[in-house]
Amino acid sequence: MTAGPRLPRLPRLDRHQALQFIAVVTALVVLLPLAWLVLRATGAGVEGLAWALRPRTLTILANSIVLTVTVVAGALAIGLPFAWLTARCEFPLRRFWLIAGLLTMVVPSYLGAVTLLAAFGPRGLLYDLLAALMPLERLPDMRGWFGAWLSITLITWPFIALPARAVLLGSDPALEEAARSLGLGRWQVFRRVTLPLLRPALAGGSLLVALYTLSDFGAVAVMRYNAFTRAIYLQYTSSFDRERAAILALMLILLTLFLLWLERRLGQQRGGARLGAGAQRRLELQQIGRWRWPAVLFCALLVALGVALPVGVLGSWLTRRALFNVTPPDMGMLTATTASVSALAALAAGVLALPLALLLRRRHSRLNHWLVAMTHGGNVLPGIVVALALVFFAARYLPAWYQTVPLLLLGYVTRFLPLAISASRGALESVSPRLEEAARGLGQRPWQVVLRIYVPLARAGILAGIALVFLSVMKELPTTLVLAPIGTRTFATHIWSAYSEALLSIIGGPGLLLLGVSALGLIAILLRERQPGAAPGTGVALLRELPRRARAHALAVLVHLR
Amino acid sequence: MNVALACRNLGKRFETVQALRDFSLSLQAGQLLALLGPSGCGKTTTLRLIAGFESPDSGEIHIEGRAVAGPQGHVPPENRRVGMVFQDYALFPHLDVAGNISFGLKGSREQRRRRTETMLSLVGLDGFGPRSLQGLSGGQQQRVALARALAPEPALVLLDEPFSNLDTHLRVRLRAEVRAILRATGTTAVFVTHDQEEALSVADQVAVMSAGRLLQVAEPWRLYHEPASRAVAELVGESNFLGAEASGRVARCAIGDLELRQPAAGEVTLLLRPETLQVTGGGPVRVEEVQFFGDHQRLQLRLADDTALTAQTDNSRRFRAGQRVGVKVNGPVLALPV
Repeated sequence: MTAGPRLPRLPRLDRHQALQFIAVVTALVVLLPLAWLVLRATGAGVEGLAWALRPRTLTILANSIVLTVTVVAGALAIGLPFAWLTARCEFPLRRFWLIAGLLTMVVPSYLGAVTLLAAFGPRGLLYDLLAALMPLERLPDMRGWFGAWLSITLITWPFIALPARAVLLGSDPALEEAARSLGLGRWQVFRRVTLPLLRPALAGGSLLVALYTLSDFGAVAVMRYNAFTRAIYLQYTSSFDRERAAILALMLILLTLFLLWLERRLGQQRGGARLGAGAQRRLELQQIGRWRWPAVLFCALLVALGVALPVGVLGSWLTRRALFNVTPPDMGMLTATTASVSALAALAAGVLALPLALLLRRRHSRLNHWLVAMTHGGNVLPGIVVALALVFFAARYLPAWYQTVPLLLLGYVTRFLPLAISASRGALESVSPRLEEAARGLGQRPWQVVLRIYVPLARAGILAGIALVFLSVMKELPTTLVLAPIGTRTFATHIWSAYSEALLSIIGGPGLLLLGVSALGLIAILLRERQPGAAPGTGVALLRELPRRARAHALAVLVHLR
Repeated sequence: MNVALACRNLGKRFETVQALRDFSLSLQAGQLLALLGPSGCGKTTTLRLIAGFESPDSGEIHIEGRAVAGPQGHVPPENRRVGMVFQDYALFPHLDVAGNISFGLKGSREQRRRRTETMLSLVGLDGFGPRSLQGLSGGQQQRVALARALAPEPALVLLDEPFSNLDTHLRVRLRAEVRAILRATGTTAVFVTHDQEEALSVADQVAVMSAGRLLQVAEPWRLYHEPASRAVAELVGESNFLGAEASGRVARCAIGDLELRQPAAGEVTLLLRPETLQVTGGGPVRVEEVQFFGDHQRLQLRLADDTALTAQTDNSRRFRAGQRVGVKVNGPVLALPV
């Protein structure tokens, strides 16, 4: 041995590179099937292009656009007043309406649509009521655009209301006071100060609603509105024409990418951040006098349609005796399957998310951001597209995986990994880098720092991410529908097939269980965030940061609370 | 001179806290008034009442002779012609510098543009109009906020702790600048501060507040030398209080017989500012501690009867802890009621 200080061994692969390696592999797993889908679609060449430009195909495009635009308009018309009322006005049961309103987010779109139809359909519950009072043939059929619009609007308006409310609560009251002292009346202040401050939140929320509407499969399929997601599924199941399904999927991807591009553009604009420091005063609630009662009516209507109606209808199915001799669902088997696939997918996503979140935390380089952004592809693109891509890819290159549970799990992880990344990332960012430096100074190796500093301190966020993925998988319809092996049924696919076979009575149990668990999950996450020291970066807490931060994946967390 | 602002018997209560009671004040046009007091004394409440963001429970407020709050009703803030500079400036983040300054302006586009230019050069920000707020320093944001408040030519400008967000060096410079701008425009202004040096050096009149009450309004010089009460003396400058027996122009106390500013009789409290104490060599007073500041030094003294005194002297003589010295008082002293 030579004298003098021993030189440290040179690492063969430093930690940063190891993390990047994981990110590259993950991005490839997410992107390869999508790339294959695109190849399939473009492989159709001129003939495919001609098919895509047929009037019938273009009608689908028009349908999707019409639905998206009208849903955004509806969500704005509901979300903005709701945000204003619950943030700024004094009226009876204000806090109750807020929480009850947010609960609409836990209703999966297919369940909302099925129950709406059961209530207001041509021979639904409303018909039964009215027919008892007067002679009535049937109610107008709500299926088609109106039904799809109503179902989706009723569950998407919180995406507008939440960020808008966060801005209304978080913006400096002095801004509005300054405008008053400069001679502006109340309405002028709203138009010239409040609305411009809200604009980024409204725009972000609207794009989110638009993305959601484009990618929604459940409501559109139940209401038989021929938008892209339904058309793709029909093309896939009825004709098994993969090329045409792929072309439609590509069109939908392009539409989604256009919206994402818009989102990025908007994200770069100035937000409503506060300038300067200083103590912020609390906002005082406005007295709205006679307008109290219309406000209550408005909130009550939302809660009635969005929460009470699905629960009520499901409950009535649970208690109603089946008309025909229908075998009741094997709840034990259904619950076991749903819980086990959800838990496995959630754990896998949670474990995989940690290195990716650490990579973002470690170096804010362009490359790392791009790598992690790639892994978001599975989440922002419609579930039906991602699932089809996996099926096509597996059928061609991984025949052994085709129609297996591992492929289903891979589909779930692809879809929901970004939720776990966002949650972990938020929690990791709240850990001071000084702690890492201190630990390194005390002789800890990088991996020890991860296990002994980051994991314990960010535990809450990591667990929240896992819980979020669990809840999302539990409710996920299109991925399960397309990827689940025959005989593997979750709550979502059970409800879907029961609906398709018009066996409504057997939806009650699984439906209520699904809503119950989701609602508990949402409430647990909301309560967590009210505790001091709770990890920011999950659920609603993210929305406080909205105007300033990248919105896409923060909001994705909320999308999947449903 | 006409009265720009008059408050009469204002009272304001927030749930359990009486934030302001029986507050009366009047301010001449063109003057600069400081509201001085510890945090929670009601100074910001006073400002918000004048601006119209709160309405008083009792009393009235007149601005340029017009009643804006009181039994006749409440004029909303936008109709009061009161400009406000907020503690954190409250600049509109969605607008650029010019957009902020022209926010409250009326008239044609050209008129507004010209006025904005005038304001920009008044606050020394020529050419900053199209800039976004993000790049501005704290001092520049402060000036934009001032220009925005002054642009519509308000009857009165209110400034809420205007310098508290700036670092010490910048604060001193900006204080002088703001004062010069307000003077140049002949603006009547009220500013809130808890920094006595700021109040004394910037304002024409200082109103001292404590626990929701107005204790005294006076010019800085008078406030310092002739505080109306022991409470005011404690809030403005440093003080030694010494019990004494007065008769006519003379008061007898622990450091001997002292000359009074005004004749008094019976038991009084003497106000001895540290800089009026003169420390001489040799005497019955013990030096307990010496703090040396370079240009001056501060001595903690203890008299034979165990009374503690603080003295401030120049830097010409060196003192050591434990040393025995004598104490004299320069000039006549103020006797306060006990």
